Amino acid sequence: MENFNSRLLSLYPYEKVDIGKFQKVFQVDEEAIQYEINRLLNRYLTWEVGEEVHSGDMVVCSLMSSVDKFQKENIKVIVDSGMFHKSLEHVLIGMHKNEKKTVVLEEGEVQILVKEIQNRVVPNLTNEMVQALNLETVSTIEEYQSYLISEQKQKMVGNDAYHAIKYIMSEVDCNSDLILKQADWKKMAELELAKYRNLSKQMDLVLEQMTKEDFDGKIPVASYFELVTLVQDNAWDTLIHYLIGKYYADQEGYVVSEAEYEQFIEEYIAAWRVTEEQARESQSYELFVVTSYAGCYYQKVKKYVEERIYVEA
Amino acid sequence: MAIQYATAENLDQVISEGFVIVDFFSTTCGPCKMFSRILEDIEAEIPFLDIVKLNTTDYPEVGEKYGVQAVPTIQFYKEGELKETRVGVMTAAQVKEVVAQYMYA
Repeated sequence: MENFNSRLLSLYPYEKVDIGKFQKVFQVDEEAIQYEINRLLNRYLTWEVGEEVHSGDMVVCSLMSSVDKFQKENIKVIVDSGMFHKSLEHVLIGMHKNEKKTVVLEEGEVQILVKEIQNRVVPNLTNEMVQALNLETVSTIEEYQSYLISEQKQKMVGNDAYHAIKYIMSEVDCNSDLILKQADWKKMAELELAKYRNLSKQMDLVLEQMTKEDFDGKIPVASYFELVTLVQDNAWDTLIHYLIGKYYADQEGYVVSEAEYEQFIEEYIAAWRVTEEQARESQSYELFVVTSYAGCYYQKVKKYVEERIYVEA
Repeated sequence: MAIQYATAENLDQVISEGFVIVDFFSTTCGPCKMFSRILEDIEAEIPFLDIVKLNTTDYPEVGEKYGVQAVPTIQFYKEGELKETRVGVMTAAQVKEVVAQYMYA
């Protein structure tokens, strides 16, 4: 990277980009919140011998019918799960232990004898259940609900902020003053191509000879030449983002280190189940440095947008 | 039965009886964590299902023995016989559909 001759001359402040058209009011997904509360309650649910069948209960019953599917002895079903037969399961609701009933289903007549009932008993949410989660600053039901909403917001903000982030970066890229050298652009493209070359070698393929079928499911191109075009397009942006990211990193005193690279390689090996040699071949240190500094730019804008993407109604 | 973790030593025995879902996962696998939550939901809904998890990071030789090439791999056993194998995250509905197909056959 010390050999780069490209330079950032002046940086357009990202704060000057108007993201009003991307801002929105955050809508709580109440169903998702209730789902999480139900998951917590599931830890405390019990199955208790019961006398009457309700939805969600487990029932052991015997079925008699001329229809093969309904000629069963001691079959276990979960009422309303739809796993055995939705209509028959629903008919069980309200029945009692040792009760017999004859029903006419679409397939035919079935005689049901309920032999055993296990009621699914879900308790009400308590502060003690919330405290057992050991979440910092969360000890009451209300605090847990606020926590869930905050978590949900954090999960959704990434999606909601994406287009605003891309827009800001595009505006900053276009309005900043840079000297961009063709040799540096070529270098960026070569780094990326080297990665793909090594990855294809690991799959016993030669990148330059890969066919549409070889690329299918891996990279959205149909030929090596399409890949080169794609890489060259991306390399231009990568060069700009590297220069801007390096500027921000220098401001904050951050320097990409070899220790970080080693950590990255360790995680790459575990995630992709490759050898160390393969990991280092496809993920060179030079490429890691470029990506890391470009990442600084992205993270800076991302943080800015995520703090502003949601507005009050 | 609560979800249990199998080892290389006891997996054969654990799948030998009843209907068992085996979840082959690894420690660093993101989709495996997602599928774990789905299995917890299923366990809360269907108490008579036996669900067993095996960590292929801890027991890579077991993963190989059972033909596991990617995680999560989900295998469905009935009385010790492998009925079906699926690779990748399944939805709760998909899991229940497979279970129903073999449990009520």
